[in-house]
Amino acid sequence: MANIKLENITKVYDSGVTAVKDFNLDIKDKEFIIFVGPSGCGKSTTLRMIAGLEDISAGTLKIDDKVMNNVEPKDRDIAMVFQNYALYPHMTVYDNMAFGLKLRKTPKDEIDKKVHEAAEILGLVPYLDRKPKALSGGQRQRVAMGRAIVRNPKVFLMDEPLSNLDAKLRVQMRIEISKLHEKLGATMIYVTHDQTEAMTLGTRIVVMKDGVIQQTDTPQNLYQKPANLFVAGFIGSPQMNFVDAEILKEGTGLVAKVGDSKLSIPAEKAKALEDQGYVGKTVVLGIRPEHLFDPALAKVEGIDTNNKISSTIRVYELLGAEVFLYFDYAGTQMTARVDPKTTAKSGDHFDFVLDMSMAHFFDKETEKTITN
Amino acid sequence: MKTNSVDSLLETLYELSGIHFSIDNETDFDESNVKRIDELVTRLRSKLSPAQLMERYINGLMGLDEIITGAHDIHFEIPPLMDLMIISFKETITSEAISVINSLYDPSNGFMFKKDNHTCVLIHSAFDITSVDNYIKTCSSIRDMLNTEAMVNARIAFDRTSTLKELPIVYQHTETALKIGYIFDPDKTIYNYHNLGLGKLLYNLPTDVCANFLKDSLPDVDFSTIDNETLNIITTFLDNGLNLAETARILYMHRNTLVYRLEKFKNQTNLDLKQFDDAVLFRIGTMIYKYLKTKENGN
Repeated sequence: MANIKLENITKVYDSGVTAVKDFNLDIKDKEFIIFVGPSGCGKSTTLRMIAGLEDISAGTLKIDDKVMNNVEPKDRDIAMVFQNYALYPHMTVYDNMAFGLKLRKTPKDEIDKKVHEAAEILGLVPYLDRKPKALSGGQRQRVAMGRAIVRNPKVFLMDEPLSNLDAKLRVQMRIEISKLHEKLGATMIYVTHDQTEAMTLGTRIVVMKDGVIQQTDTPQNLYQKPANLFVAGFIGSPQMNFVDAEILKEGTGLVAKVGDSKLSIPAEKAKALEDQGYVGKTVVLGIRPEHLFDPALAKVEGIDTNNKISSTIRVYELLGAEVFLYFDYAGTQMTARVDPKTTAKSGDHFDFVLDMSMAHFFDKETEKTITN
Repeated sequence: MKTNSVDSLLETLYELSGIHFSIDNETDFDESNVKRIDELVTRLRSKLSPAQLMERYINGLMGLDEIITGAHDIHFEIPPLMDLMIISFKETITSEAISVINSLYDPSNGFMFKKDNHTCVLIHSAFDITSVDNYIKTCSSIRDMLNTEAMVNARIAFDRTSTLKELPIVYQHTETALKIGYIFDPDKTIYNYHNLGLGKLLYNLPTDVCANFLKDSLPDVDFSTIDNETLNIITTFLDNGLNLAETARILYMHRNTLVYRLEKFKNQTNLDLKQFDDAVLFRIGTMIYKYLKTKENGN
């Protein structure tokens, strides 16, 4: 059992820099939650405050309803796995996994039982007598995880544990971590700067920027209903296209004037814009690359081909199952992710159809969503 | 006067020297004699510890010739090249932390001694470190091991691989790196003496000179009111060579929003950060502000 509650948590360093500001979050027992954000956004600092490695400047941290602010790290029943999975070079895998328990004066037979159990879970039994030098990168990382598992903690904290691995191994280990969470049934908090890792691993994701939570939601909601411009840009690759748009009334509906194009805004989004007084104002229009279409293919999809912008394709990138087209429009670099059946080529002057039902609108000043 | 403590000292003396000593009951034996035996034991002990020899040497209490002779006396082979790291803990060093550090190296290749209750020095025959990146990686590993195994926070400073002759100066540099790093980059945990930048210069300036610089050169900037978000935007902009497009990309921010934020800052402070001179002025000002703030907090 480990519910974690962070109430108005703030971290101010001695220099006066605020690393985390008014952080509020309820983490349920056995939940796998991800903290994601760019470097310096405060995600690791938050994790370290939960671990007790950083003091909490203000606010309350509770684990199972017990205030933990002043509890020693070693008494919090937490285990950590970090990026630099250093192993003791002169010890075998067994001794590496047993070391932490020995430090805690755990009886020998109990150490043996726990190490073998963890090795079983991680598929490390055949390697227990090997030294770290004789292991692959993935196996070493599993030993680092084994060191955390043997402690049988209430909470696992993982800070970019896969960053040192190559891309292929990262994907493999991602699956293994997911399985591990299911097997162990422990609460896990996982920090990463990689939005793909976050989207594939977590059931709930906390997006952070400048020490502030931007949005806490499911991966799907973060992608489809971003709360602000930052989340919209951070989640998704290639990132969402952003362009300034003037909202105008035309007939009974609204249009977004972008460059020299006028794009019809669907009724529901138009209502939100109108109700909040954005008619006649400039907002930021966001559209994901996959919602820009080749006109010929848009027709097949049943998308209104009147909502289009024209530009010259700068770069054509074939990735096999999809094509990325890069172009400039209204002073902004844009990307379209289209079907490889497209006839578009580099240097072509091309029409791009926008699926406006998937468009997002953001306030230019506050950067908050208007229509989600 | 012959007590149990004298017996125990004599026993230790035998262990250290291999020679049996005894005290004749008839001898006039007082406190000063106990003290002399105790000193002898201490001296013999120090002779047997490479860590103590090194500690004295890097602190300037022993010369190069002396340490070579001392090492020879105890059959200790000084490595030709060594790495030195200072590991600093916020709390008092725990026995778990010492166990973790001691387990990181082969005892025949390295040793560690406590500098004070919060700091220890690790000297090791040169790790297989070929670049600064590898140095940082090694230090990060040690820090993460201390975090995960001993559950303690640690900062680590380093200079460079050195010979025995260079070791005292490398030790001084490493100490300086820890002090300066803590002031100018308190949120970092690994400090490289060769990457302290302007901090190295500012650290040597008197505080009144720094305070006057802020007053004279940046009269319209109140550093205490600059919020974290603005500071992060500006820092990223400066770190990326005043490149708007690159900064906007890194911050996941619309380019126009970035321009708007910089304009807003200009109106508030009269600093146009798109201009190199103003950008440099702001960078130095921020560092001085941090320095003065740390001094104010008594660190």
